[in-house]
Amino acid sequence: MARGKQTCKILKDIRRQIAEANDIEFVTSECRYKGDCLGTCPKCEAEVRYLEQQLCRRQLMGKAVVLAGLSAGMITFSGCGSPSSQANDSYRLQGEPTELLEGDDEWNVEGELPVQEVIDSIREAAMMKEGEVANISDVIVTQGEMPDELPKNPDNRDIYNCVEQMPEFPGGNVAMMNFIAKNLKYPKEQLDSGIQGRVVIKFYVDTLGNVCEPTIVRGKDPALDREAIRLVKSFPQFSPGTLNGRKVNVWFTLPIVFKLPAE
Amino acid sequence: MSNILINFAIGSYADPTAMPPDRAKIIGISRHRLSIDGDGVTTLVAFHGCPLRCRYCLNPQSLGDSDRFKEYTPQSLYDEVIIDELYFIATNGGVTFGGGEPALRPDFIQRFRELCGPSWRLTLETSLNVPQENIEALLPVVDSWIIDIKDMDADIYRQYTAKDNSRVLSNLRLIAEADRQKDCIIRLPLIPDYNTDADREESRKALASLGYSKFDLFTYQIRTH
Repeated sequence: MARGKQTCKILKDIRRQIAEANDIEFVTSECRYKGDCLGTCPKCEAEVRYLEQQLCRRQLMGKAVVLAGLSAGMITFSGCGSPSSQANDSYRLQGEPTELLEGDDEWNVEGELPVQEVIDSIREAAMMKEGEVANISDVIVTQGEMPDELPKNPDNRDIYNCVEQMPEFPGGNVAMMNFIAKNLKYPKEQLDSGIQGRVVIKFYVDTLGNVCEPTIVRGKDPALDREAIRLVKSFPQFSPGTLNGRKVNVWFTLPIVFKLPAE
Repeated sequence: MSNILINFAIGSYADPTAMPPDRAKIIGISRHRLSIDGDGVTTLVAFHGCPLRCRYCLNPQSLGDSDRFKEYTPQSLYDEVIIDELYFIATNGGVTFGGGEPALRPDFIQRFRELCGPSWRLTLETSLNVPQENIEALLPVVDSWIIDIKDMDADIYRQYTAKDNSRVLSNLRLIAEADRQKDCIIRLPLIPDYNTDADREESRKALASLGYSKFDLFTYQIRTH
């Protein structure tokens, strides 16, 4: 199988695994991108965005999200175990690196999939060190060794990522969304200049239900980020998360969407 | 205006460390690499600039006189590669910094780590031929190291790279003192016309005595023009 198609297949399997582990309905179809799909065609990307959205929704609903290390073993099996794929790589590495990046259009490896040879040369040759090569792994296979540990739950500060009963905003998620809608103040300058987007914020809820250490996981704009932090700090006390009936500290991730009002 | 152009040509672009701390020259970004250079799904980010002049360098565009790069800030790089975060986290993958020599830019990589947080695996593909303080700064930031030592023999190294390898050796000791050998894969290349299998075995023994145990043996292929 061409390497691009193989990559596409492996990435799709990862997406399917994420969906299954999180009870997300995952409807996929055969990638019909003509040519050597690199897993970056619009359909494949759309599936990733869909999964992200669904996972965020789960988090918002207080459900645990299973993701970290979920598909770790799969890649060892599919990508690295096969000597033929290694050989294939080494063959492709003989491209002409000097043809790279001649123009800005060719730079963009993502997105609209420019001429295939350019992508191949960028992917395969551009960034390898000298001697690229046939990884004649006659000694020890070093590539693709996957750690099989999941992130610690709880982490080294005794804060859990997943528990039976996630912390809950008083009145539930609907109440939380109403609280956000009512109290979110769109910074004026950003409103005027049309800046919108999603800020993802992370905090943990301690055993007393307090919102602790809110930090921006994915920022959008300094003022929007600050407003998201302010808002979260103004949350009332949650009911704490519990594990085996015991109250525990639990991480909580929350996307806050700043959307400009319709004209 | 002409002064600016002269500076552009002679000064700042010949030396990667001359870049402002919040910018780096990147010669390429490659997504969805599956176990090619690091665990899981990785995105390779290749820096411009390298202290070595290897005889068989396959990436001459990473060297000083090249203008084939694009400037990034840690934020703009993060914004671009985050598109694959789902894959990174699900496969214990992340970003591999290569080049060129990524260890010339610890400031940039540190800032990138602050942005991406602890869950992405950051891997460095390096020659270690950089000042010790660079490696000291990178040790707490980088999860995995792919180290291309060329050959441990100083003469072979100098013949092949035109540079001295004393910094490589002291940085290997530094990493060993930090007890991080288990996070390192050492590339031991057979370099046609420069070293032999016996030389490689010597290199391996020397490295094993420092506690390194993961080796990647392969043969450099000579680039045909």
